[in-house]
Amino acid sequence: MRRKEDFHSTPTQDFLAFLQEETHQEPKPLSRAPVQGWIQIAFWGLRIYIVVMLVMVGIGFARGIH
Amino acid sequence: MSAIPETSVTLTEADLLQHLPEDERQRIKDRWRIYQLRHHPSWWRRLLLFLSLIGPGILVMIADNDAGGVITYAQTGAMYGVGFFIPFLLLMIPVAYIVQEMTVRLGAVTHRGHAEMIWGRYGAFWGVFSLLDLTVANILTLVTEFIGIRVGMSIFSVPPIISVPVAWIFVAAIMIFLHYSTWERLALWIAAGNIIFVPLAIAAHPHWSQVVVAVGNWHIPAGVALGAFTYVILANLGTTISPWMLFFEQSSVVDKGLNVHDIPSSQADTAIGSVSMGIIAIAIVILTGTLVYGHADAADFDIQAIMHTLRQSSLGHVGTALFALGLVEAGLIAAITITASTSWAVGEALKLPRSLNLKPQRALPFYLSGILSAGMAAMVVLIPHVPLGFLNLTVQVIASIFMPAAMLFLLMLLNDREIMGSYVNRPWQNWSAYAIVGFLILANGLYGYTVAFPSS
Repeated sequence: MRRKEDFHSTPTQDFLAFLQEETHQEPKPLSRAPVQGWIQIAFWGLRIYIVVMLVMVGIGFARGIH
Repeated sequence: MSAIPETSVTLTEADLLQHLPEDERQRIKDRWRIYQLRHHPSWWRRLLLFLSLIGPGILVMIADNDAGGVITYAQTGAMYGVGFFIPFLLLMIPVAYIVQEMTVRLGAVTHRGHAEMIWGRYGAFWGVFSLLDLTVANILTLVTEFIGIRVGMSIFSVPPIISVPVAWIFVAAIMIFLHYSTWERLALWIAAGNIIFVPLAIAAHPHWSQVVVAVGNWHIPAGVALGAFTYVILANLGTTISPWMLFFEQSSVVDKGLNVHDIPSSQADTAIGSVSMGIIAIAIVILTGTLVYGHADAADFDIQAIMHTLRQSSLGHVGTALFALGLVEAGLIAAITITASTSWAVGEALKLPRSLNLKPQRALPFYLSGILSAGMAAMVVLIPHVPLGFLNLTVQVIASIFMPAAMLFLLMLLNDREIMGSYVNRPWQNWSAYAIVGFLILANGLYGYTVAFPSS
């Protein structure tokens, strides 16, 4: 079913204000975050966590196979 | 978004949108309806506005009660009755809300998906890590959804060779042929089917006094094996917060075109979803805690054995058929949302055109990434004697490795004033999230230890 369009033949002030508002929703440019301080510590913690978990899972699977 | 062209008296409002890309044009049409409802308020229009804005939060939370979740809750009730896990699942309601609410703000403020934010802010290494981990976890989770659909439909004598491909085609078709808003409304109607577990729990005639007492005392049944009990706690936690949920809700907020003005409505949407999720999960535990708990060997029941016991109980054939339909619905709604989350994440990471408002010929890689991964999962389910236990373990392992990482990225982004401005986390939100991450790491560490050293 095709829905009735909500548009007027001549742009209303409301519609122009809406379009203006929506055009300001464009995402801002994204730059790399500086990796320092607590973020650097968190990343190292994450790397260690992933390695430890992978090792434990590897041991688990190896034991499961044998 | 492109700039607005110079207006002239010959242009209509519809003409003004013609220069916009196809996906933005569709989104602007949806947003224009919301704008009109917001700026010309009446009680009726406020209600319509709220109904227009809800969607991502309820969808993600109901989809979280997926086939694997329904099976986990049913087994929990069968193993431990209505004791410990009712207050535990009540606690999971604010946990799910706190985690998912952050994705709402992140999406509404940045207008970017989760994968795009990780890739753009923390570089390709963590971007690739997150994308690969999410994609693999999603495929494996989809296997469990199609298993739920297969098991549920088998009650109606529908063979897997029919039920599984039809479900996959349905998921693919609505994604390809429907615009975001229609896709979301249809998914919400399917999600409403999850409520079936509530009347079923009531029909089981539980001892409500026991249920009320259970809320207050966190009773652990005597003589439970600690290892198995810890595993069930982890399984329940794992079904409450999952990596795909973060990616799904944020991308959904972005594709819907929500902005900072919509944050309160989206928070309410997420809160309603969290409470619904908790109530339905508790209903399943009450159902099997009343009708299955206490049977000989109930602790070892799989979902088929649970449904067999339900059929022999006061619930009967009709009630069990409704339970099976609920299982199918749970698998279907999760398949719909997880497939979309894969497509959005791949599209965001690889900077592809990505929107459910796009025609398939304009965004083929976006659609194919999700649909083909769902197709792979569907094919795995059709393989005879597939090692489902191994697959289930692998899903949990990957999710357990990824979830603390996903939470860490979420927390870093939500505390990044450069991108969030005044919408950064407040202290109580940070402390709550730190507590959740800490518990996740501790629980996953314990689980990893028991996997590696089962005899300890």
